[in-house]
Amino acid sequence: MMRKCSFAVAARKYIVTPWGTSLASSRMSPVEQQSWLLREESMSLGSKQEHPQFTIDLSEYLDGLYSYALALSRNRAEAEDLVQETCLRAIRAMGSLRAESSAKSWLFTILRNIWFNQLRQRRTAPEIVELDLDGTGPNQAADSAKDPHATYVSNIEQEQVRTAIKQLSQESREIIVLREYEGLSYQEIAKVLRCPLGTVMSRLARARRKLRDLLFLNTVRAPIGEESQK
Amino acid sequence: MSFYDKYRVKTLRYLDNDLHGEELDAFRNHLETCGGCRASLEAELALSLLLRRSRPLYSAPDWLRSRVSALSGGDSRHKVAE
Repeated sequence: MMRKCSFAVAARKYIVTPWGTSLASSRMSPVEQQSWLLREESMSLGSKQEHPQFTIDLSEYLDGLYSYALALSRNRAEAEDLVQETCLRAIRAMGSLRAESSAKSWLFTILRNIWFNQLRQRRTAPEIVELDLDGTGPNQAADSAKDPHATYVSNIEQEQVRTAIKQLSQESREIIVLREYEGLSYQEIAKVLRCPLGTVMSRLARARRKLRDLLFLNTVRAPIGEESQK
Repeated sequence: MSFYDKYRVKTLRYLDNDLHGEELDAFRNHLETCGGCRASLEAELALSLLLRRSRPLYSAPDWLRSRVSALSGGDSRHKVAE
């Protein structure tokens, strides 16, 4: 089955198929380019009629991708580069995404692969840079319309959560972002992280426990499963 | 998976409505007798609510949105065929 995805980048027209990408040549005359575009668009239309299509909106996933990139890199500039590269690769590879697959977990997998490829290329551990993330908090413009006290409390709470998450290991940070913020299922997380389902569950449980300790340090916790050990 | 991990995982799965049938009944029975797991359940619930209130964790900067939109030729929606 032939899959097609058409998109325009920097005023150039690409057609992506499972076998490669074709580009309207800049050496074409304007008339030739118009003719080429019309032909390619009609091909896309033919494909659309033959196989129902759905659309994915990359902008919907940007906050999630950015949060995940920060969880991996802990560096704003690197996170921004990671998101850009992820979107670029996703656009190029859109033809390989099947309609029934999860676009979100596909995008997170791309981002993670890019990050770990970069790490391998550097052959060194990533430099840990303390984040200066002023202005990256969510919905700051919208917050101004809310009750000022509620906004104040919300911002404090938000900052506490972000500070606590920053203190987790990379392994814990990424699983918290994928599960608690992006809502990926255990199965989807296992695919993104390329690990067994049981590992996802136990890793998430440990990450949450650590996060609880960081956030609710004064809470007295009774031993879990105490009664069952008897 | 350690004994403690097993119950932490069950607590999370319970909160996610991922326990069913006998497994669900067994966990409910366990909760009735185990104060530690009840406390853990309450703490996990409190954590889930706190994390939910703090969504999204970070917002992508506006310039990055513009950049991705430009990469997409001004329209970030992409068609995917079956």
